[in-house]
Amino acid sequence: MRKRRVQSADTTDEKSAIPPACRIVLVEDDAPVRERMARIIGDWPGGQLVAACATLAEAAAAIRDNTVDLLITDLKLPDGHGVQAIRMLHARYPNAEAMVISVLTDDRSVIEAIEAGASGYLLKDSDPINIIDAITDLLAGRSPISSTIARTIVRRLGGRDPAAQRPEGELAPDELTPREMDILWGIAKGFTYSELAERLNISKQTVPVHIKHVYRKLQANNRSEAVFEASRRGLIRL
Amino acid sequence: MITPARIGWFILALATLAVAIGVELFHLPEPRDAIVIDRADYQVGSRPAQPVALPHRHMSQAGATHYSVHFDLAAPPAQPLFLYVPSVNRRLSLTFNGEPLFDNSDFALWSGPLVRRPVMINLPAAFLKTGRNDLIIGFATDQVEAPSYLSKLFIGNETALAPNFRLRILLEERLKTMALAAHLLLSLGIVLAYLFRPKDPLFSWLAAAVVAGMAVSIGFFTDLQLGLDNARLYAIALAPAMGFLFIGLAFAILDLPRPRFLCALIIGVPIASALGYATGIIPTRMVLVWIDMPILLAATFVATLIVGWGAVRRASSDARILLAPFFLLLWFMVHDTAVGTGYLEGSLLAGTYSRPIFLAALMAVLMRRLALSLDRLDRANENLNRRLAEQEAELASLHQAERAEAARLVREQERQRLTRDLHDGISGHLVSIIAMTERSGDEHKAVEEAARRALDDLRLVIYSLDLGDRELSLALANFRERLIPQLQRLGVELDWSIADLPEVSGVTPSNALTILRILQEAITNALKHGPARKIVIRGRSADDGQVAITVENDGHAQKAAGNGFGLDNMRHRAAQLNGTISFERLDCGARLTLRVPSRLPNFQDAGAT
Repeated sequence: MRKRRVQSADTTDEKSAIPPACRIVLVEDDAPVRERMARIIGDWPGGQLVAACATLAEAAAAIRDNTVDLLITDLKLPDGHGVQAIRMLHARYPNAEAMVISVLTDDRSVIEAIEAGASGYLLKDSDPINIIDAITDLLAGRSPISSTIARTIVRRLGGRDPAAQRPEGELAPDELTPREMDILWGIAKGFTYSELAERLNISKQTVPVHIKHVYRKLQANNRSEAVFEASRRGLIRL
Repeated sequence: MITPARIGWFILALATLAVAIGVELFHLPEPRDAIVIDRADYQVGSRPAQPVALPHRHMSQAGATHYSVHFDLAAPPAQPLFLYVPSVNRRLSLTFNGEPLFDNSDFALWSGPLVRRPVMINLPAAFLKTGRNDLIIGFATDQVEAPSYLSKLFIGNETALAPNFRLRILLEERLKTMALAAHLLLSLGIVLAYLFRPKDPLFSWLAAAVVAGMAVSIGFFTDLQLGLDNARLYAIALAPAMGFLFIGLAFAILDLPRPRFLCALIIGVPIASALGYATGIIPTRMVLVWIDMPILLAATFVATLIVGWGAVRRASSDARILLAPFFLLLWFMVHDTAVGTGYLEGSLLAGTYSRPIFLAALMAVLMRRLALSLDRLDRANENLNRRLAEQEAELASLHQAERAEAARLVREQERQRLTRDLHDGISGHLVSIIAMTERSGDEHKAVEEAARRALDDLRLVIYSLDLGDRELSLALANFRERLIPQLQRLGVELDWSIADLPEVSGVTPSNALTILRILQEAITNALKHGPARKIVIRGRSADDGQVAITVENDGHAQKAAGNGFGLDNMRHRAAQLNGTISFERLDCGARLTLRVPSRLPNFQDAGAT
């Protein structure tokens, strides 16, 4: 459970009293980018930047020394990988959120991060408003997804339409509900959230909520080493 | 239900019956314009003569036999006179008015107790007398197995007698020779079939039967005065083996297992009877005949019953075909035995003719089996060929898939390498530039914009690299995800729906990138010239089976839009895809439509312009 809830600038469905600021650790090795991000977060009243780190070591220290609600990390770091920072975060704060920032939302590295426990991602050059939106969405239980990432997940879960019969031996999306599979498929096929919501007869706002559930399940799946290996193989085969 | 097959079986049954009855009803005409002698004085050895009617049979083992006949001539004949004996089964010695005559037809091919033959001898004019003429017909002393037989006698000129004589020769000699030749020929075929396929029980039984049959026939009928008289003994001894072979054949035809004792009988009975005769246990040939011939008849009868059972109960076509000759064989045997022993009137012995019929039926069975085997072989071949073709096709498609997969893997690796390089290098620097220029405010706005465009274009290229066939909608979705922040930054609303876009095949990273570049340029133009507040993008199928993507803006239609450099550029790109660009002004705004075929052409140099 998150200890604090935040209210985003444009979120209309959460009209509670202003909660304590979200404690954020930023990890980014490129100084101008780190400074830009730090500035944007600093300008946001809902957040409190605990530390802006340039290396994995600094990140480790920041996580050790502070209470952290949200980790925003680059993946490629001079002394390690952002995924390691995410693992450290969850080892210490199981309920904290992690978000990946990247120049390219390359599906492979992003999915790797999701399996490690990240439930959101951001482009480094996103506009400030989009960055804040992404953070508030994530804290409100909504995760973003691109059609490329959806396609990769779908392929790893068997690569078939949910209606089709799955042959034996293939990785079964045991824990994904039919609705979640439908959403993944729709996004992989290029539908917008609105179109998807209309087709599936659900609210547009619930689509990112389903996505976050999917990420959580991928993360849970990933904890089992066997399943992890299977999905690896699936990844290579596809 | 009447079927052609049933009609065929019916005709076969009728023909068989007709042949069986025909043997009994068949009588050759007697010669006309000839003196008929149907009475004789019959004398055996030194016993007193007794008058008998001709034809006459007699079982005699006691010395020479004589028939004395006479005829009257009113005047010496104008033409040479002949004595014609239509049917006789012994060699004759003739004495005419006290003078011996030579029987030159004595050297006939076939002779022996079971063979009837005609005799025609010239009565020399020098010996003819006006009034009574005496003729004595003597039968040589013979160790006989069958009664002697003498038909009526005819005296007349050549014109009156010759046709009948020739006909008899044809039936009794020529036809039998032909039958033997046919027997030989068919036997050769059957023996060859056995040699080529010794494991088939039918073939081995057939071969054994025809070889034994040949030995028996030759033994029975060859009496060429070559001192082979004893051969007949062995032929008689061999006869029961034929009967047992028929039984084995009947089993083989029905694919039934043969009783083990059959082989023992086939070998044992002939040897036992031959040895029995040689050691004197069987006293005479006559007794030998009376032992072995009934065994042959009984065994043939059993074989016929088995075939009949198969034909009726098993509905075996082979058995049906063979039932007719088996029946005729049995019937001819009975008939000939009855005629030969005098129980039945008749001058013609039919047994010889049954063998070609029998062998012809066997050939029919073998040919039928051969045809069926070839049919099965053909079907098996067709089946194999079809399966081979299927497997080849499958292999080819697997090969194709493997190559596609290999190509995809190479592309994937290349994309990863490129992505990693770009990620670590250029794109990182571009983001740094954006971050730095953004901090310095409007001063470096142009640099920031350029860096953002460069980054956006880089992303477009990188994401295109991963596209597979039929993933145009994915490419467009990627594009939309890049487009949203761009438009948001400018405060422009995006209304996007490509749900109606039909599936497009032949998608490659190159041609997908071309489409995206066209759309990017269309949007850039709309933003530049519009200025638009809202952009509507729709994917749908066009009327002519093509795919249409429209970009609509609500800005004021610009004057130069119809022939600007940007539009030319877009048209050039669309032409690479065999597509078209059309531009129209709306009441408030403008609409650009890109049309491309639903199967995109492949080209290598996308983005060259």
